[in-house]
Amino acid sequence: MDSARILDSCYLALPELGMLAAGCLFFLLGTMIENRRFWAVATVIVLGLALVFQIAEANDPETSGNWLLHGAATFFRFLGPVLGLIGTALLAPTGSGQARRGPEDFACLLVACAGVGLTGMAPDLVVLFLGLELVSIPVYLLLFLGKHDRQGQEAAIKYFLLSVLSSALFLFGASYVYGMTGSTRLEGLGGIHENLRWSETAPGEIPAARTLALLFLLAGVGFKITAAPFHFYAPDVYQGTSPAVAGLISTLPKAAGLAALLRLIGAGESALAPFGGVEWSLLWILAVATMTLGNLLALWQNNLHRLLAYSGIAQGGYMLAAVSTGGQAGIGAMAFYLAAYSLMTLGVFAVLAYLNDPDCPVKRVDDLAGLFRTRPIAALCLGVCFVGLIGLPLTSGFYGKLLILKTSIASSSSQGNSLFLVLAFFIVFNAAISAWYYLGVLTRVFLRLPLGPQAKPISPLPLCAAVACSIATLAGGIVPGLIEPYLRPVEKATAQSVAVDATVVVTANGFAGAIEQAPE
Amino acid sequence: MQPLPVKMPLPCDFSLVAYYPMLIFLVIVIGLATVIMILAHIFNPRRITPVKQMPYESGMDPIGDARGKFDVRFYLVAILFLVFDVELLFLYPWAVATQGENPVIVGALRTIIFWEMLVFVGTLLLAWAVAWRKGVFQWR
Repeated sequence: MDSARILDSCYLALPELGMLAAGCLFFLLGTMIENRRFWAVATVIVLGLALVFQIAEANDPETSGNWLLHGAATFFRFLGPVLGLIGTALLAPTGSGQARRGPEDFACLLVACAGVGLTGMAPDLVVLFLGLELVSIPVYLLLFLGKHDRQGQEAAIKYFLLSVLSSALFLFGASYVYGMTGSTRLEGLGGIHENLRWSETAPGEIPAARTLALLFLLAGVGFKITAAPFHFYAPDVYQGTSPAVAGLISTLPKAAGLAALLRLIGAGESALAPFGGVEWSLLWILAVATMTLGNLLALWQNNLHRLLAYSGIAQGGYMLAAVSTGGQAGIGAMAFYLAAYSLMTLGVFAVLAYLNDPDCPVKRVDDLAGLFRTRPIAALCLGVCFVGLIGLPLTSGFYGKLLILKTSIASSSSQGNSLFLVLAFFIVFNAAISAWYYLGVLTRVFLRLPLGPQAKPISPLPLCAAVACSIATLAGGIVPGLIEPYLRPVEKATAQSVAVDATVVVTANGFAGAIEQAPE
Repeated sequence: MQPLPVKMPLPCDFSLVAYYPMLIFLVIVIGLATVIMILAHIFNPRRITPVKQMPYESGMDPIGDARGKFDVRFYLVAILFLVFDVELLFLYPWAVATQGENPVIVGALRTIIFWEMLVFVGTLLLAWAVAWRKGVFQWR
């Protein structure tokens, strides 16, 4: 074993490890320094350093062609800190109703961002699970630390119990994969199908245990993406927490879940591994059910957080649809849409965090009435983000939906499967449904008069974040060419063998090997 | 770059057929338990006395309701205990696997795993320090 190589692999995961270490340090030193502003600045510095390091690493010729570090992995490793920076602006205001103090929120944020990156680059089921947990556990803390009223407690305990259940399902599926193949490596589950011996099956035949394993893995990941049968928690959880935390929950776990899904289906390898008929149709059903259910249920919502929760569920359905088309182009479309969705949703939640005044809380849709007259900038940001979520032209939401539609129509003609045309129909149909409730909010914001006293914002920081998100949404729609070149590597990644392992994997495999080879 | 030469455990030949005796055993166990309970229910003599109706607490007279309230501080200590307990549980197989005669873990890898374990223990120590600073160990 080459020790220098292991240290190299640690070096390559340095941004994530750095964020984790900084998070630990924040927890410890936070017991001594309780100045929230200080810790917000420190968080921005850590996230900025992580981004700078990743840019340097992405341009490093020595590691190019390594799909662990490039392609989809790079995308998710960038996405984590960027969302973290916006999240910092949302979390930073002090005294926003609840007694938030100390740096725990920021420490949680850092750990969750590291988790998103680590999930994106996981070479192994063990690391994948670790990455997903690194996103989940900080979210438990954020939910618990936020509010101590009834709804807050309900949100915290509900998310905790259901998330633990989903982790258990994921682990159960992973244990099947390990039990059947003797390895936890993730060269795509299709790769597992190809390369490893699933006993007692003829070549080319898919054993039932593999389908079962995938079912469990998908259930675990589906919880994070809030896919349709696993979405029930989302509205209650969003409703019970502050806008800032709700914004983070609607983006970071979803990004991690989609990263894990890409890892499971073997994206980033030279060609998408044959995932097998059953699983692709499973993804197809999941996508259609998720977007339709999310949009239909959103029509009934009066509470803003619940509405955004169902909107998030529906948007997750579009991303699943992009993945289910089964090509590299679909994954590129998914990546674009995920980035667009995250920025738009964070923008909406940033406006809500900006208006978060304990004296006159903005809870129902009607509370936003006449916002354009009282706070035009916030109203405009809200307008841009909601228009993007509908998918109207000149926003990144439009371009993302266009990409997804293009890939699904293309794969229906290339694979000769009319199911993908049905998928495209469902996407258009759902976009039309969603316009109803999004426009309902916008009419109140722009056309109605204020109903009661208006909220007095505590800090302009969330508004800055909202403006940044709106500008990004417009930029992604008007000049998508600016962003698209960066998606190319997500779509096409060269097929070099895995050269880098996080030390975790080495140890895990070492343990497994040692236990395996121990004398009876 | 070459893949790391990590030695994988060999895939074993797995067959569900080998587990059929387990299934038969399971059926017999459940069936026997059910049958015995039904038989006992049919044939048992019912002579109810107040003493027999008392909850059984190792032969002592029960004091109060079983669902008493517990101070939440016990849980904090219990969770901390659990963390270090589980950690200790992992330390033994780790020590045997890395420092024993193991053909997989040799040379520099052994050193690295040693330091990695120290990092793990250090992280837990950090958590303990945070708990201390937060006043978990003070009985207020």
